[in-house]
Amino acid sequence: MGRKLIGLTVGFFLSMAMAYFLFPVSYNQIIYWLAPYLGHWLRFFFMYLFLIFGHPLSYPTVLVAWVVIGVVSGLFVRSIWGAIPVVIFIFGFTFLMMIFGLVAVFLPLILTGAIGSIDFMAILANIPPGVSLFDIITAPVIGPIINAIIGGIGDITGGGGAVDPSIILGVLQNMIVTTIILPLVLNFIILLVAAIIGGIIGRAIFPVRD
Amino acid sequence: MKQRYYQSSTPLIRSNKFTLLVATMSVLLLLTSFLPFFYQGTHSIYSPIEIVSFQDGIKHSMYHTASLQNFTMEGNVDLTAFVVGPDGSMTGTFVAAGDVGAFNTAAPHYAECLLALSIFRWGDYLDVLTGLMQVITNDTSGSSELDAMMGILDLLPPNAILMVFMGGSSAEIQIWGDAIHQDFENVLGIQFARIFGITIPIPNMTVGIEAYGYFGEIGSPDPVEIQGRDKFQGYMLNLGTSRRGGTELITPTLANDSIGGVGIAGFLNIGVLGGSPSPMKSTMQTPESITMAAWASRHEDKFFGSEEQTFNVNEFVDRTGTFSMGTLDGFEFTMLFPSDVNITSYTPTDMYNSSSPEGVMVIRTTGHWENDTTDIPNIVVNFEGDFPPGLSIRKTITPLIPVGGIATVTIQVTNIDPTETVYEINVDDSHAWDAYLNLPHSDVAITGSTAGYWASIAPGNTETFSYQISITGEGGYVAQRANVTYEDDTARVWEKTSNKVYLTVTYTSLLEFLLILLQDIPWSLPVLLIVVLMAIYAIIWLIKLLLGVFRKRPAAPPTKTGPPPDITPEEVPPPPDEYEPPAKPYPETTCINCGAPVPPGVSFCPACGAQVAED
Repeated sequence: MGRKLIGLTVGFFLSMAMAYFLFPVSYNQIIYWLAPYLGHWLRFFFMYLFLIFGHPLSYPTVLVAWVVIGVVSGLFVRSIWGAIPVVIFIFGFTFLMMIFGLVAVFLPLILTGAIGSIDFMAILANIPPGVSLFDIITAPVIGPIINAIIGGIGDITGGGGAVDPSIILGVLQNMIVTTIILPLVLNFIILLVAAIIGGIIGRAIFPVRD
Repeated sequence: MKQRYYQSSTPLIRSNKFTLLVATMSVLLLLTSFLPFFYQGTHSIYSPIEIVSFQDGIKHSMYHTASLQNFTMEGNVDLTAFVVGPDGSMTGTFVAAGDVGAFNTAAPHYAECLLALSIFRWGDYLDVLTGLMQVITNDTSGSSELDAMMGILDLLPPNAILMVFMGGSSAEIQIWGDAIHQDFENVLGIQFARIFGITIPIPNMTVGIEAYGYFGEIGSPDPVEIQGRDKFQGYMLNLGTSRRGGTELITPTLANDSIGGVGIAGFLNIGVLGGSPSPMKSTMQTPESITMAAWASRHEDKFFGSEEQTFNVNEFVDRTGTFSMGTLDGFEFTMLFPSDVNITSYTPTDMYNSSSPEGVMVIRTTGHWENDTTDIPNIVVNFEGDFPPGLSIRKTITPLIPVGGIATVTIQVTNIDPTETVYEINVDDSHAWDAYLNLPHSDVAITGSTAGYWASIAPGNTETFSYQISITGEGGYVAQRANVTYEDDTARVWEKTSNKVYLTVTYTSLLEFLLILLQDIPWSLPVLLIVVLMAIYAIIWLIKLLLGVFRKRPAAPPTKTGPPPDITPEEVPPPPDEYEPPAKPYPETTCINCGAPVPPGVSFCPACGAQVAED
């Protein structure tokens, strides 16, 4: 269990460091814009959002992050079957942190009623330089969702025709699969494979005497 | 013989190399948390020279936020139907007209318009508008593009100036409005920094929205290729590309060598010179002398080269101005002046067109194209207007501070009028940070006075005052403009506003970020925390359960009799006389710790890892 605990600990901190230092610049712009109103946890949420739902093939930093996390954790565990539960927990921890960040951003605002006092016009009127909708619609994770919604609206309206519920469902399904589930699964698989590789390498370098 | 009664079953902690590795990694991780903001800091710092961002290892400009939209319009489109009202507001419609400029009206046309809607910082909301424009124009049905364009026009600031440039097969719409110099300096700095490696400060400038329309001919054997389209992407001002000549439509065989362009800088200057109509005059910035470079791009053999043109503008000297522009090959252009600007003289004399839209004066040249032997001569326009005496107010701030740090706001008031002294100068910056007061997540503390007063400022003199501000929350903060009121020598009161300033408050390290997060944990939600912890705990047990981590090991046989490890040798009772060691309770090849069989020659028990070899 000692190796697994160390692997877990290193994986936790590594995931946090990766999420922090590989933070996409477009998110930075959004955060600079909204953080004065939504608080520090916004960055925390976006950190893990990008790590969890960033498409590893579109954003190589996500791929690198999960590979590093998996390999390093596996190196410490030095066991294939030991590394797998460790990285599963790391992935779950990352996901929980994202949820926690989201809740920490909005729940206090909702419970304290502060969200009702936010002046949205002031938010729109105080956009820092460098921030534009272009940043938002091209931002990782958020951008594809917005684009999917926009494209979906175009498909749904179809130039003014009647709304077809099947088209709506198709758009939603496509959006969920391509922008949420697919990156999530890919990242998880990458982490697992990386952990197995790390376990093999770790076992080869530092054999476990058993 | 020394017996070991206890030994860790984990060989991990017995590996010196591995312990060293763990220690090294721990130290590195710790050091990492203390490292400065090396990744984000170098990419997100707001710099007045060049704003460059890196994303996924690819260099981006933070300001190249152009949105590119292709769409097709059927029929002819009259882009000249805009009207600038006397109050500066613009209305108008795109009208399907028979003839558009120098078009060959005998042929049907289609327009492939590249709306290179550079997302400028015009006022506070043009970003949003242009973004909406892009959103709306994704729907290619009907004429929503035009409607969207008109919607934007309706929302333009009243001091905006519209310029329409028509060509044989091209059209440009340029809409210029007042903007703050710092915005423009930054965005323009990108262009200059990239090309010349320098930054040319521009005290006051007008930026706006521009749209490019390229018209081709349906059925052309060689469809018009939009050359340099990529140049539109990501450039705020498209100084290197502008418009295409018109001969390609008329004589398609010349398409490849008939294209040229001129930088919009010249027109930009006119926008500045024109100022605003009377109702908005008091809030207009008085431009200072402007020297900037633009360049015309030519299209020859599908290659865009560049030429440099320099526009020198010295104006508002004693409330008169001069605009001059050097020789340009083959371009028509249109200048719109507010009606209260009196054009005293101009050359060439045939370019003045009094039949202008309401409320503006128009100077329009005739179109000349590159294959035409006639060039437009030097253009000089002298004008005068009832402008206020030149007073410049400029606000600066420390652009980047850490969370909780202190930024200094400096307001500088300069009398740039060469002859006239201004009086009773009052500067008010008390509302600059109003939008950020009483925020739930950050505190804004202002130290010092946000107001300044001087009885008079002589020509050429400068007065300055400053105050400090501290913000405890991360973010990009926009300080609104400072207002200054002053009187001229006839006691007439004028008012001006400064530029906005931007302050970026950011973390300096991961450790600082985590510490601030800890302070900002929503402790008011203990239930939430408990639930989260319980969830983590449940997941751990679930994983262990699913993967069989809780497999029970075979019970180890009782250890060999002897003193427990917590008993010192002195306390060990002497063995009774009748004590006799058991006759080999375990075979020699059995672990003394767990009793498992140990192969000969092996130092550690394969079952429990205990050392079985004698020291």
